[in-house]
Amino acid sequence: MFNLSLVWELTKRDFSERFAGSVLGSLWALIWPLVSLAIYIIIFGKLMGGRLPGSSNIYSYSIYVTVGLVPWTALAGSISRCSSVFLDKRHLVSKIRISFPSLLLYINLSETITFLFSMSFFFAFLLLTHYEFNSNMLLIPYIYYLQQLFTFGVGLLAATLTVFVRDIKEIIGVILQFWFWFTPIVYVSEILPEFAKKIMVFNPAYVIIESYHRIFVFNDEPSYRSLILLTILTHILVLASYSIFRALEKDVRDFL
Amino acid sequence: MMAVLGLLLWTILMVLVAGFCWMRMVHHLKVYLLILFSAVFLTGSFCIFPFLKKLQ
Repeated sequence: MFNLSLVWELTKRDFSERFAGSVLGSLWALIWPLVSLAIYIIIFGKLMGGRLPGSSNIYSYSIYVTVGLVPWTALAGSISRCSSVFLDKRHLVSKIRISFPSLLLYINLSETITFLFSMSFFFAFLLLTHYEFNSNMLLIPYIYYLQQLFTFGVGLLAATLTVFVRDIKEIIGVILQFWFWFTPIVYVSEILPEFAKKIMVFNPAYVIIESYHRIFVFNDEPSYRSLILLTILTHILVLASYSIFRALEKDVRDFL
Repeated sequence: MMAVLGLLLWTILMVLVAGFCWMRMVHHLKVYLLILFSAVFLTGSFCIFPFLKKLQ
């Protein structure tokens, strides 16, 4: 079903192809997260002087933005790239008998590696600023796993449908733009009007990003009820996406 | 400490059981089983951790 050696090979190739021809090569995979992190901390925290309501910590807004943007980048990047992966890799599919879900897995793995680089730099920054770590941080891998599973479900469905309707790739891009601004990543949810707060609970990205915010920024526990509900819904989504994919797999291969 | 250990033990147990079942199952059922295990694993993680924290 999942060819793990192929997934690993595609992931390595993804990094090498992305920076092919450059002098620093795959080192750019480390430099980019570092640059992004520096922007979040220096621009948002120092230059713009962003502060969270009720917090005197000069880095609180930088931490808030970073723990929102880093997971969001992984989530949006995975969904966006997964939605066209069958079309992008059709040259591979037509040559060798490849399992389609493996193609989505390599994108998830690639985004996870970038996420890990970013979080490593972020943790180094937290250590330097004498940040107080808490035991709730142990939940980060579980929340991240849930997040990427969600992207896998959405990505598999989108990738299957994109083969038949090419516009879906563009529609996904538009949805991601709206989705980003509808999720409290660079702003706090308190500034939203009442009706927006009520419908926000139906936003899966909000549940995920809010969990990171609670753990890192507010030293608090995430909402376990919301996470369990999202876990159930995500698995139903994955199950539905996989069933739809299985039903259409033959047609997908024919269309490609 | 108990919550941390409990969560780690739960993770190791689920990975071992899922791995064992993955090797034993026939092709097309594997994915459905994996989805089921994943759901139980995550739901369990989000239940065990706060429960053990309260017990501490």
